[in-house]
Amino acid sequence: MSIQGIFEYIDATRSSTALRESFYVFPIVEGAHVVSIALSVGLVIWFDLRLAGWILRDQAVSAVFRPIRPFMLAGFTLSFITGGLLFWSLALRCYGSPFFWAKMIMLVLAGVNIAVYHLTIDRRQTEWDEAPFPPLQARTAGVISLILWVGIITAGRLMAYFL
Amino acid sequence: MWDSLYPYFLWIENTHLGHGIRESKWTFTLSEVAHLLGLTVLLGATLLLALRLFGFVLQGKSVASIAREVMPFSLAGLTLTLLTGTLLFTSEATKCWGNIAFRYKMLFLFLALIFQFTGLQKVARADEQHFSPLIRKATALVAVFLWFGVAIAGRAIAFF
Repeated sequence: MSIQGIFEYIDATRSSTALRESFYVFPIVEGAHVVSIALSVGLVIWFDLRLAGWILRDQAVSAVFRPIRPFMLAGFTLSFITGGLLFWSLALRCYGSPFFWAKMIMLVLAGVNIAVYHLTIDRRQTEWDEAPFPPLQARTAGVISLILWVGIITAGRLMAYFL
Repeated sequence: MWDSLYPYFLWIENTHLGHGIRESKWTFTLSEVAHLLGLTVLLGATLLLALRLFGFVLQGKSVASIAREVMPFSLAGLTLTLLTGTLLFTSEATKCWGNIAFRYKMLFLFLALIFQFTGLQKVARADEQHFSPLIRKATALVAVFLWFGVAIAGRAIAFF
């Protein structure tokens, strides 16, 4: 089955139609998606800014990251669930939206950025945890993350506008 | 009272600015994007401060010094959101006038702005011992409730 075929299949399911046409559930899911951005991106930016060496320089990187992580992860979980539901209800229109694909590509890149960070420079974090300005590779990871999240929110908003 | 405001809303919508934004698709759309980005920073800053007031994060640093670093981001986010929000409003003022979610949003916004620059600022900038933990937590909850109220009511405008 082609990608388009899969999207068409999803779009034609009963659950997709029901969600798309529901009077209350769809707006609630959209509202929750916006709130989840504040919890996820709204919190990850502080870690990114610390990694970049822009704020909270007197605090260890781990001291910023560790306590924020559970709240951030809750936010991202809510984002993915509500985003997944929105996609499910509008699969065919997503397929035809260049902003949808831009958003997906940037989400994958954000995932790659996180994976590279944790598998490389983060392994030696104890060496630079207290440094006001982390090593270049860590600072770069922070800046890339900030740029990607701005891009993801932008593409997401444009997608909804042109759908 | 709200009814008597209608002529003003109509006037705003018919200004050059209102016409201009309405007719330029990209100005409107980019304002919406910037509105959401500004909001994300503002809500994120409010959340971080609230989590610190609860003692969940960054306990090694005083609330006041975190507020000093985070407040500029709140202000930048707030400024961007208010500016773009005004542009969006100008382009469809009469639609907003008739929208119940918009009225709730303005009520929340009014209260949130007052609280941001009175209660929240006072508690966040004070010495740790100056306010009881209960007051600090209540302040955090009120700030989060009011700003998220603005965001949720704002999202709801599109559904009425």
